[in-house]
Amino acid sequence: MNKNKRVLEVKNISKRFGGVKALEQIDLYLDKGETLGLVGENGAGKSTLIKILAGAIKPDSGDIYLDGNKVEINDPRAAMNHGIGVIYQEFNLVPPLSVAKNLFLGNPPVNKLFRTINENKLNKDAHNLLISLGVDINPRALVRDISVAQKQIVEICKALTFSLKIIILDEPTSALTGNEIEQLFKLLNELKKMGISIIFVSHRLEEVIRIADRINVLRNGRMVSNKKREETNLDNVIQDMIGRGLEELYPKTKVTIGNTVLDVKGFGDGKVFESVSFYLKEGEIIGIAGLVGAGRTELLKSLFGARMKTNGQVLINSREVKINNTIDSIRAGIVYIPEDRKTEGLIPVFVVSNNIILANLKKVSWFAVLRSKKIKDLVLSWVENLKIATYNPMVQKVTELSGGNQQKVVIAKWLATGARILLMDEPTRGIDIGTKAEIHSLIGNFLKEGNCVILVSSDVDELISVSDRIYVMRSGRFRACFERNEITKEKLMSCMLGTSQKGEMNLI
Amino acid sequence: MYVRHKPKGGDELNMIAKESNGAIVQENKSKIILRRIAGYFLSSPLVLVIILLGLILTFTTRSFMTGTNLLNVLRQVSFNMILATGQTFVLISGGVDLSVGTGLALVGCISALVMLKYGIAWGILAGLATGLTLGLVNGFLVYKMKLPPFIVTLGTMTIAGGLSLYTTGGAIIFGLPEKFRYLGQGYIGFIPVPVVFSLVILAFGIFLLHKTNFGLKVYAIGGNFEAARLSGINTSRVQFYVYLLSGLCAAVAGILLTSRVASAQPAYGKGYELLSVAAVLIGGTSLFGGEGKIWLTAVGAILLGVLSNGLNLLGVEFFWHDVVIGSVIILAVTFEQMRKNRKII
Repeated sequence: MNKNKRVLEVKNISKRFGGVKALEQIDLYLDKGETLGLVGENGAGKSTLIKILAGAIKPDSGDIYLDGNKVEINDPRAAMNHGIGVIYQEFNLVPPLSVAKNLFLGNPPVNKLFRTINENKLNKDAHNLLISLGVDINPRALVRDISVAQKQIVEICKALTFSLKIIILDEPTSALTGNEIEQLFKLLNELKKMGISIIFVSHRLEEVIRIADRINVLRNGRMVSNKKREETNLDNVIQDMIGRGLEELYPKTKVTIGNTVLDVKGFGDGKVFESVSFYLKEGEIIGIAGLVGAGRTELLKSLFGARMKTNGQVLINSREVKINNTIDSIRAGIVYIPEDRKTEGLIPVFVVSNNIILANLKKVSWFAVLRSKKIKDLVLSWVENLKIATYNPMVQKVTELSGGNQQKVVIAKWLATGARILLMDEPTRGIDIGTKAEIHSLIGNFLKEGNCVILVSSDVDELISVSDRIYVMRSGRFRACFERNEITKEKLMSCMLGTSQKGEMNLI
Repeated sequence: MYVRHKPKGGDELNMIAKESNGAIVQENKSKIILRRIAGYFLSSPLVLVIILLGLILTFTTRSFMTGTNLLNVLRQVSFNMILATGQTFVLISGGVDLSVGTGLALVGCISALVMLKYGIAWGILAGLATGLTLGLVNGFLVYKMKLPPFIVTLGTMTIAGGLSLYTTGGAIIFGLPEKFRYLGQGYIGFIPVPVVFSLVILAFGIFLLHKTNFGLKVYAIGGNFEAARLSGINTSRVQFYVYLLSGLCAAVAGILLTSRVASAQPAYGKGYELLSVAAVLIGGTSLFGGEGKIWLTAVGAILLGVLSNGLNLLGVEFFWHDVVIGSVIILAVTFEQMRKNRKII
């Protein structure tokens, strides 16, 4: 096998979605048996690039060459026929069927008579395939009974039954634990030896640096660097990804701090978190740091009345308020921007305006009858206020907006209620850098008016840059509190992890 | 190289094509406006189809394009139109109400029985109460017990069917008061009373769904239940009212139909639930909730009525009717699907 044979070459690919440039003149190449790491922040254009290679979307311009020949990849089937397979984060496996059946789902070996499935041959083939790749999974096991990592591996093996030359892995390790990642990497090395080229797309930079022969960094739809593993390091890659300093990314607005607005004492839900106490002053933004599963989202949801709480007091302006449901909390001026805007923040089938007025129906109606003029006034003022990029909020579906603008719609919905306390759960996740900064300056304006914010974020840099105070949550309790001037990333991280816990850190 | 099999099954490929996290598709302005205009033309073909069907029937039959026949069609349609109005709310909210068919029969039976004993007014009240109770039970089970609407209303559908047999002993109830027949058989001006009822309910439905807070909340819970709840909408209450409304529609339709046939028949409503769902789906409402328009439901109901009337007039044997109507349902929904896909891609 000729090691340096170029199997894939992408030249000058560009793609726009409406006014947003998703990809701009991307060049990319891949040699036989090479593993390419593709990294970039959310919104940098990684998914778009993958989708183009997979034939799920078409580029506006540019060419794709396979083995030196120009090809058009019009649909996923074409991609498969060209030997390109994409393994997405969610699995395309059939849980009630066995591993072997899943592996050969498209074309199982059959008996001559009646064309029934030849179970023996099926299981033997599957066994051989798995063994040859050094994978230890029972082909007769049902897919629903095997672990996530094993599913991932089965998915990759399945792709191999289609004589693929290029395998694209989209965030393959996001659901895996340390040991399972080793298994996956072992498999990837086997594939490499077989001459299969791999594009490894991931957020976990340390892993990318470990497995990839070469690393490409995407930023805002441009390919900003292409370096061999030996020529680069973690800091380098991060710098390429962000492209600017953290202060610029998370602007902090100067605000005068006032009286205590929110005082929470001994708050608990009896399940996930307990005895949580903290306070929040006018103009303040506090951060809650913690690992996934520490109970941060649950805490916010309970404060918002969307979840049960069992004990504790919530005082607003020194007066106790009873919050049993979301209606109570909205009345009390507490609103919640959920972690996942697609499933919890927006009504995807709705136009922009209806999404905004959803929490403000009383404001735009006259005795329960909607007034279109009032709707228009309210919506247009917020669209302008937050600079939501939409050609017409009254007719454009919210799903047609970019992620950042969708998030702004959610924020507009809540700011329009006249809320004073904003609970934000990962408000800038999956949003491009420009909009990230915009959202933070927007939060700054909100704080200036004497309001306050509780920010939950997995992005430690974000927390450190904007918070006046950071509480660290671990296993359902607040373990520490850092004032702005005493926070360092190291302190925060070690406190988040706890002394006994040793997980991998999630960078950026 | 482990070259085992060439790809064959299209399904897996399609599955892989499934966008990993819902691509944000944006288009430029003029394109969207063009699409929108085309969309209106493509959504109104339902009306065009009815006109076309009407023209064909005008030339192929002698009696279709006559005042009496047209009014007759409208009267036949009116019962389904009333049910379908309620059904539209239920489907848009993301549920389904299968109990309206046998519910309609139960309303008729109870209303007739009470009427024979206590008079017209009490009979009608009893009918309305029956429909409301049905809606109440459905609503309660769906919002309080969090049971899937399909299962709940499948259950209450069966129960209502059983109850109407039980209350009447399986017999048809005749001998309803003469005056009562006005509701189903009378006219206001030249328009049959049930048609007037259906139009009033339709207008009310349009107002409620498209012009009020409540309507928007119905769309919201169908579009994304969790997001609606987190937006401070009392989702359970909305769900509850939706089923109540559907029950009420079943009650009105049941009373009118009883009056129309001047008798209560325990087996009368069978199939009406699916006919109403069919009208809503032909009208382009999504089976998964969140989308739909109520006037298109009415158009869907009329299409079904004209179709069945036309088949009658053409002398097509009765058992072919269901075959034709079934095909039309599939065609209409296929068309709707294609229209939507064109919008997305």
